[in-house]
Amino acid sequence: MTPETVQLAAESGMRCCATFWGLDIAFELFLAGLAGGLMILPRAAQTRRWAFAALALAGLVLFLHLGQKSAALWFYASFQPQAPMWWGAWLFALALAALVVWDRRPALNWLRVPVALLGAGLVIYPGIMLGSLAARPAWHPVWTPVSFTILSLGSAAALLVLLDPRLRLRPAWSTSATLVLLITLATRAAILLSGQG
Amino acid sequence: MPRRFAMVIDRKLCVGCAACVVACMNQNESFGYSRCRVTERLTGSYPNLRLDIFSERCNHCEDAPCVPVCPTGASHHSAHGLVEVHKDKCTGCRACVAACPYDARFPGSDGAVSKCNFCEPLVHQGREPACVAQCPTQAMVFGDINDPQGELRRLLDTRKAQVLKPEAATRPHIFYLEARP
Repeated sequence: MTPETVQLAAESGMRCCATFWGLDIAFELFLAGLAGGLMILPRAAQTRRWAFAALALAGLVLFLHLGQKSAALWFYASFQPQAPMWWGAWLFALALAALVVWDRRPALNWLRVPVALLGAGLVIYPGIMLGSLAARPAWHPVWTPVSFTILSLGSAAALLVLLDPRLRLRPAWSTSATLVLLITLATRAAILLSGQG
Repeated sequence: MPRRFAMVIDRKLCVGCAACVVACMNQNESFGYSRCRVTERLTGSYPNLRLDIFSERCNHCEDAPCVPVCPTGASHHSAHGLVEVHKDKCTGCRACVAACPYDARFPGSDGAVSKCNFCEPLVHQGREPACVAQCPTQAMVFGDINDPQGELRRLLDTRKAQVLKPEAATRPHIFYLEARP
């Protein structure tokens, strides 16, 4: 009879922060990616208010997640270009400002370019931020940014379908678009939680 | 050469009593959570069983991954190489918690991220960290790794030592002396 191999582990003291970024952050990443996608896709001028709403809600979720909200201004009072999250904070602020200006001054067509660039940043940044964390091998440095980018663009395209008065009346299109949005949200949560605990 | 604080834990002497955990709670007035932990892992097949005990905390790594990811600069290296957190600048975003391969950081009760600081206020008074002072088997030695006459340097030069997760390449400053020769 083969002796049984024992593997036991016990721990006392410091509580491990098993889930440091929970479902609220998954939702925030979904909204920010959605907003970024809308800012890139061809109908950005028509959907800028949707992009603004998604991004503003994402920012609110992110702010509420902060443990010490009174320190939030340090994101903008510090210069930490080596930190992906510092870039993320500036992307949020600049994208919101650009969308507001574009909404107030729709004649400024040249804003289409900076809005698209900021949108690209919003789409790419979360995956790069997660992928850069070597301590979390589940967040692959290449596949995480790639999958996040595809999901963001896919969710934005799905919202465009739902906003289109002709397409949304076709059950196949509207059902598919809704499914894409739900799958994107679920995948975000799965990827985020897989790297923790 | 500037002082560079480090810790050596003799695994031959550590019995896993968790006095370090209690001392940490007491020092930091944080009953219910500690900045250090004791982990025990029992492996093998009877009668060849092996019990590994580690008293773990922030490793104050020289290449600490928690420092560059901080978006506000709250997480930083002090003059003596300690990894510290400016409480006022910490937003509690937890980027550093995600970056730490040792799970040595956690959200504190004030919302800012908390971690072991080697009891810096005590060290500034010329005293030892609370966990070191309270260890009943004197398994822990704290000191300046750059002091050639120090006990810590002597132990590292004469005994075989290991660090946690060497593959992370963070150059930790907590060393565990081998339990077996």
